[in-house]
Amino acid sequence: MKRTALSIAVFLSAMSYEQRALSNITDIDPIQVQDIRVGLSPDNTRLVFDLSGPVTYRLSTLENPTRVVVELAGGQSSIDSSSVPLSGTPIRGILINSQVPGSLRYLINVDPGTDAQAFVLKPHENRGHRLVLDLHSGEGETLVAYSGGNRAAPLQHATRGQRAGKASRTGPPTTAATSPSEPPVEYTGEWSGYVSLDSRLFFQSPQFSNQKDQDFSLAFRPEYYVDWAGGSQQFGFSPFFRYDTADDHRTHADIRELYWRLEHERWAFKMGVDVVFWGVTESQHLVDIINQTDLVENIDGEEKLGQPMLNLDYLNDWGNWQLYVLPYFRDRTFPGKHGRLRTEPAVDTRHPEYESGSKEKHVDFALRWSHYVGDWDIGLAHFSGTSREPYLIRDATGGQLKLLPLYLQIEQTSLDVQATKGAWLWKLEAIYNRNTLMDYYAYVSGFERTSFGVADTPADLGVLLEYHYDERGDEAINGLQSDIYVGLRLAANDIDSTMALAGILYDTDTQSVFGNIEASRRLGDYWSLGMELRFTTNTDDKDNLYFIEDDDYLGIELTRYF
Amino acid sequence: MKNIFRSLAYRDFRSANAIRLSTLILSIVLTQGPLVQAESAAEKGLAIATEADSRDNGFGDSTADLAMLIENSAGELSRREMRQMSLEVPADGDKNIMVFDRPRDLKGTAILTFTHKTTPDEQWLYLPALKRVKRISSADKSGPFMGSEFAYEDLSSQEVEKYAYRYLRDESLEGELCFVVERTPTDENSGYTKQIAWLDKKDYRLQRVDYYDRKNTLLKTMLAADYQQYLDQYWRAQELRMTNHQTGKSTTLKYQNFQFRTGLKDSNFNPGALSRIR
Repeated sequence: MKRTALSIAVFLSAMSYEQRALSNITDIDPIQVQDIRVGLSPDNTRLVFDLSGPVTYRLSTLENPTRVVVELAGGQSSIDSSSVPLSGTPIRGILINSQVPGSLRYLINVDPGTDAQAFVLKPHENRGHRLVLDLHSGEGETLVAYSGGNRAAPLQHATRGQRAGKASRTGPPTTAATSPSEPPVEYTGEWSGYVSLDSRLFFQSPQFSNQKDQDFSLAFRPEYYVDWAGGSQQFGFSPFFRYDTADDHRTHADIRELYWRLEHERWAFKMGVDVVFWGVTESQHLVDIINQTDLVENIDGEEKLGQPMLNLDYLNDWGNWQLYVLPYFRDRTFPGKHGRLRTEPAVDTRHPEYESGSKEKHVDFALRWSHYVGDWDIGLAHFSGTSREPYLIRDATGGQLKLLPLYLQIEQTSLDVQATKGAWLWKLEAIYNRNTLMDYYAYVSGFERTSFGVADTPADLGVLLEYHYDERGDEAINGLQSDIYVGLRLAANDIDSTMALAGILYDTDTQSVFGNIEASRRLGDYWSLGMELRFTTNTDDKDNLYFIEDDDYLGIELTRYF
Repeated sequence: MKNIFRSLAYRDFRSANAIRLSTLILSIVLTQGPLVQAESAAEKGLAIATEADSRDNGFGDSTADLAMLIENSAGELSRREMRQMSLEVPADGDKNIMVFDRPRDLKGTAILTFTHKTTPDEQWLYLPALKRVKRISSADKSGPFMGSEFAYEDLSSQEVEKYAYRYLRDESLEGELCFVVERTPTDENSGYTKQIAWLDKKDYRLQRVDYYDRKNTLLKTMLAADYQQYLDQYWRAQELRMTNHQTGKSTTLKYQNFQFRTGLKDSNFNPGALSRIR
């Protein structure tokens, strides 16, 4: 009697619970499981649940014995699960548990080590909503012999290694439908990089004593990269070495990259040394400020020193947000007294001056927002810290004239915009720089227009025009106070990726000209050949180019990639 | 159900409900040939293209490894290796990332493309040497991709709206009965006046395309081979071979390692995230 009363009480409480649960979903018809089908392939078993409508599901596993649990919210079964044919599969049985109100649970007994993935399919052709459950046996090789049918399916051995291709590590791990166990840790580290041999042949005799007519140089840039946890954690290391026969300042080493990065959903956190590029224009990179220029590498300023940083990126519908904390400052490299393309005297890089008392340990900050809207790509940034671009100050204490780099503290706000209108790229970079010496603004703006398939060849020909302005006028460090750049870019679109860029920079105040021709092509799969020709004309001693007026040169570079 | 019978991945398939199975077979037989009504050639061409497109609906995302073998007229080969990631965008063209592994000087270079049905595509290029992400013009449809016989437009996502159609005839191609459809590119930047496409009637898979240049002479032929089916639905050719009839050069594109629903998200296909792709 007592027992019966208890049963009824339990029954009643279950009833009321179920009623409450159902009342929450009264506006939804229960989802009927109309059929369960079994498919076999050499390396997995597939269960397809035919459903009367879209379903929310949860996948989990239980141990001892190993069970895969599929829970369907609002599900009802209209079939007998014992009628599902299971012979030849790793499934030992399917139990239905509808004890939890408002949900239908399938407990699928499987061989130990089996892992499960599930996904839903929308109606297609004559099939309705479906939930698909794939069961992989845990062993490297699985042989599923289906004994039931008359047809003998060709059996293949498929290892999971073959399935986990290189492509799989580029994306985050599958989250929605995997079993709750962590994805296996997979290290796929690899080395790559290059060695290059180059020479610069100077056409004129050196202007200053100690300088050489030519130099030979060997550079080595290995790169190691590894990621794990489905690509969500990454480590990169890339040192750089150069040996130069003429200039001991050009013989140098640097760590370009040494970082660890963690990605999670829309967030990415990076700690270590890396190179970051901002900007859109071609003839000057005005807004690019995170990294210091490795000037001994190339006077075009495109080679950068590795910058120690903490970096947080966040991506949402409103754009890409980047925060940088830069705890250590890198001094710009300058050619030594034996090198060409230098000032007289050569910049004394051993005695840099800093406005900040913390010197190179001053902590800099930068924040950047960038986004694309239709044809427009926009970047807005602010940098607070040590200027990457030094003023060069004359110091005659001790009787000998020295040129010392002076790094000011700056607050620099920048804007970069590109409008991509068919074959036209319209570009603007602008900065406003506040500092103790002289606040100023500067910009570079212009276009690149490309003609595709010129003269019935596959080649593309682009015309570039950019105008540079700097409010400081003659005081502008880079001398781009009122200059026009005109260039032509040719891309042959051939198998060797032959490319050439020729341009001149014309100073509208002094009428001086700096010319630059670059070309490159690939030689087979591993080699490439590059050349650059640089010259100045019409310079005078008031001009920044005066120091390099006798440094016209042809550079040839042969690179072996590995 | 009929997908199941032609499935390569799931050859053996049993239903828990044999009666239901046979009913379905019957219904397939009855619904086969949905294009029997009298239609104009343009309507029928569009209907074929729409059907082919709808069969690819719902793939979600996919990744694949590519090898491109470029052969010049002297028979010399060069090899390119790439990885491709695709994301299905409902009601618009797919988003796509191509990352280069070979040749080595291009290693890490990546191209992000937002394909659009009616407006111009959007494209960004990532240059690893400078760590620079650069928006590039998508007007270059007809230019050769990596010095190969494939043009950019041959490799971009084939949206229904990118062509006007005209059904020509039924024709057997290597024993497979095909629809032959003429497609005229709607984009004025296209390098073609027209394309003739062969789609098999059974699965609406592109089997062959003849490309006619701006002078309306036959320029190239692409043959698709070794179709395999994924997720019980989506067919992918493992090999595309493009032959240029005017130069005698050819390029073979081999796909490997197709994976579907790998968990790629929209945020992976963003210019701001392009520099993080390896």
